[in-house]
Amino acid sequence: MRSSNPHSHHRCVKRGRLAFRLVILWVGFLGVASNAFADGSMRCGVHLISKGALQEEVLAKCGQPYSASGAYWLYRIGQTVYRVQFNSLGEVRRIKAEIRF
Amino acid sequence: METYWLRSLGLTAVAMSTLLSGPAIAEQVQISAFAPWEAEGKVYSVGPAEKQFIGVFEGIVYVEKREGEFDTAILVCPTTQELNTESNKTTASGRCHIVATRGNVFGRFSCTGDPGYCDGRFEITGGTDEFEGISGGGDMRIRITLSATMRDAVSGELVAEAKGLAIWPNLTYSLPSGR
Repeated sequence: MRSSNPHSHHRCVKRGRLAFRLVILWVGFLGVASNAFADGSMRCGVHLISKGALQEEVLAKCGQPYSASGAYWLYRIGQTVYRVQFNSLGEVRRIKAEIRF
Repeated sequence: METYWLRSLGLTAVAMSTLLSGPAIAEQVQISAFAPWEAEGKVYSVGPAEKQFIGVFEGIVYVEKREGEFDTAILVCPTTQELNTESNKTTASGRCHIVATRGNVFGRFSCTGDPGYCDGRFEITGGTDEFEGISGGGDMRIRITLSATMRDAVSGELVAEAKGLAIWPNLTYSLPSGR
């Protein structure tokens, strides 16, 4: 049943608009947060590669790199080129998205 | 007494070798490379007989001897190219980001020429990771079909089909020693 009070109806509309704005802000925050998370890790299909992963694991999950030289591997995944750097133990030391086409 | 002379001789030898060796000299590398690339951007009318392209050249660098740090590196050059449709002269300049396996290399180029080709210089301006402190440069020749597209383009038109080739016949670079 609708409220017959016009002031109450106006308050409801205002609350609705506020809630909508909060949802938009939250979605924006999530977008920024997921981008920040993406830096330092790399997604190969359903697999996520991040710091500490072993070379064998990276090969198994992401396949052969586009190019490799010593401790550095380059991957082109979708429109992004990632540089993966390994430490002397063969673990991922750093993943950096270098360029996006 | 004999020990004193031997010690003095030893110290002198160490001092001489330190003085003669001097600062470490970086090794200079010379390569011949080329990069098939594609241009994507927009063409604008900027004068009665002048067109300007603003966009990006993208390609893969291949070193002639299939060796060295730049072989199969990814090349991206934000570029501007101008064409005078009356004098038929073209100039281009841009900054480049080369994504090689061991790090990034940055450079700039400028060239002048006729439609279809442009001759100039490429200068390495810096690098990251294993290429920190890199310097060098060399001649650069550009072949690209962009001019024909620019001539007929309506101001603001998108160009995405121009293909070409960048050639470095003798690119020389050096890294600080120890890298």
